[in-house]
Amino acid sequence: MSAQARKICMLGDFGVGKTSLVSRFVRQTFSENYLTTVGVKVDSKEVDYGAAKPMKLVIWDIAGKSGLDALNMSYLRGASGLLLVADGTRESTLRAAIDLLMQSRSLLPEAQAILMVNKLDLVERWEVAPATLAELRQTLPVLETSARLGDGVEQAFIEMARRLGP
Amino acid sequence: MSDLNRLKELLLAEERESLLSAEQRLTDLERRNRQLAEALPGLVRAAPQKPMTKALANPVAAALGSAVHENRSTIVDALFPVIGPIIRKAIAEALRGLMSDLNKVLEYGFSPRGIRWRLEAWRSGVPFAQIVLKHSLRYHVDHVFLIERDSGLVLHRASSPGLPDLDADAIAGMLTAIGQFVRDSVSSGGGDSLEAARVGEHLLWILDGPRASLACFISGVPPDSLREVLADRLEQIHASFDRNEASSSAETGLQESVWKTQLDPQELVAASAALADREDTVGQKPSRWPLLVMLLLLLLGLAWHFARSERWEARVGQVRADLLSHPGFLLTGMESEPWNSLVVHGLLDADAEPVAELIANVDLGDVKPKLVVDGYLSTADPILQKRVARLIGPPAGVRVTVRDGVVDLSGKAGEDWISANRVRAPWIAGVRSVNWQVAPITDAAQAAREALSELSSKLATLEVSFVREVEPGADGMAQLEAMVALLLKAEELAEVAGVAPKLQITGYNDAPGSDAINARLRDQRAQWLRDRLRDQGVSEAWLLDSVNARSSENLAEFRGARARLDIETEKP
Repeated sequence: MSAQARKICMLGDFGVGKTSLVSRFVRQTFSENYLTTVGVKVDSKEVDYGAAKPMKLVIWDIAGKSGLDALNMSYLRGASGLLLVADGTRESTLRAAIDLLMQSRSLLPEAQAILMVNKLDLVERWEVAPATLAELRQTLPVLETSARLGDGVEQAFIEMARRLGP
Repeated sequence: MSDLNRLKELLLAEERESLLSAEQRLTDLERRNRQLAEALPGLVRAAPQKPMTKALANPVAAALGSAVHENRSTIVDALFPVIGPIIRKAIAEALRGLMSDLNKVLEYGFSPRGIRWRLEAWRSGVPFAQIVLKHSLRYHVDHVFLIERDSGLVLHRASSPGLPDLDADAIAGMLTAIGQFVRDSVSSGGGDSLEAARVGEHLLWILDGPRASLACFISGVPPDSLREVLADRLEQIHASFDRNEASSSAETGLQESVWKTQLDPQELVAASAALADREDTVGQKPSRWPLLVMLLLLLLGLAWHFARSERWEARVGQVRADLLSHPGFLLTGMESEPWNSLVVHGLLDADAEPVAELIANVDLGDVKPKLVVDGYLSTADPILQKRVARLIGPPAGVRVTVRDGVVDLSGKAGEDWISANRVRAPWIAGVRSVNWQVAPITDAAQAAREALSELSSKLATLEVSFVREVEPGADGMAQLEAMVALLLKAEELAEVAGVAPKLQITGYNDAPGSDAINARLRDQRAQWLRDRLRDQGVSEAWLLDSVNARSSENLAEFRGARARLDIETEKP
């Protein structure tokens, strides 16, 4: 294997833009129909994060839910990283993302986690207060992204690769 | 301008202008339409191909659909010249395929290889088509993925050369996810897993291990031995995990090279073929038993058949021997089906004994022999003797013997009989010659014979009864005296007639008593009568050997004794 592979999972409430973020980042292999049928869609992307060898991120885009059922928990198995996605225009999605992180910790206590607060292009309509984000940054990395414009997306995945790297 | 026109001008000027304008527009529109219709083909041809095709795709499809609904016959007529060749081509292709299949069947059916496969199918009980498929199928292992079971990450991948590149990590991840989804959705106990999926001629096999799964993408129809090989490889890989726990990931170069060898698609196909051949070789040994058993059964069956046939032939041979030795019967043929039917053809003389009973006495199982007999004249001496006797009816004093077709007639007979039969005897069928030695009987002798015969009849009515063992009853002695008188007279008449009658004395018993006692009683009573006759003067020559052998039979008639005179006996 030329690149070291790591499994990361995208978690977040319905409509926060997980799939759009993945679409922005990777060349898609499978149809999005899998999300509604199987509940997950897997893509991969090699990330050059400055190390000697690039890292291949195998991204499991898990269908949006505010909670994790048994099937979704089984999808998390073996994951090295969690990309939590929240919608800045809906504060409830931030709480859902934090809840999902707490649930997944029981299965993945060592997994790296990054919070992506999406829809930066609609920042004027954000409900999430900067103070809240500042407080969250003390416990986990928080990146503001826009799937529509591509702002912060690649940086988030590179940051994840960097944290998972040797 | 009249007032009316001026009034019209004032009132309708605006409408008239509108009307003129509308007429003008209509004229212009019609003109433009004509121009457009003339220019349209040229415009379409001149238009860029791609946007024009795209623009026309939907309307043309909709128009075609509508035309199929509304003007089906027109469409069919229009397509007919196209559909015909297409159908013919399809049929030709199908026939070509059929011919190819037939060629294969003929090749498999009559070639040594085909015969070998047929034997294999017969031995193993597997249908011939499956055996042919097993030996002739072609398949390819396109991709092999070794997937970490929990994460779905690819530990190793191997693909056949010449195939397009694919995102192995994404595919392995989705396979893992779908496997988990199927397990979660379908498996009730949770222990089952997705093992295979098929789309057309493409097949996906998934073999799960505790720590890693093996996904194999196959084109064609693989044999079961390939799955065995894959399972074996997966076990080997797990064993290497256990041996080298610290480097169980794909990072170890040594492990990578081992996996590269173990999971090489061509190597897997070769190992599968080798395993199938080994199983065939191993499978032949136990399968000889049915062959041996069948051979044994065949031998036993043949032995039973021959033994049964032999038994039948022996019995039929006995019938043949009996028939051949039967006087007056000429065996002309026998039709025999062992233990099924027996037909005897032959010729039987009218004077011969019947042969039906002779055949019926032989044990032929359930077979009822059929006898087909025609008449004929036998020249065998016994039959000829019976025929002569039947035709000439010799009197008591004439003796008839036949030897080699020569008839000897001797004794005494009346002159009438002699004159009648002397001429007739040589004409009897089968008689070669007649040796005539019959002397004529005189009148005195004839009268004596007749008197003797009458006397014999009277003697037959007499009997001596006993009250107990040999004690005569009330009229016993009277009967004895009557017997003596008749016998003394008979002696005189016999002398004149020239005959030597035979006297027979018989003792009898009644029902009670054992056989031994009754036999003794009969003997005693016969001897009592003989002794009394001797005492009364009857000739000793007549009494010698006169006690009848019947006295030894338990007749159970009455307590007594009788004397009989057989005058047909010729005088020596």
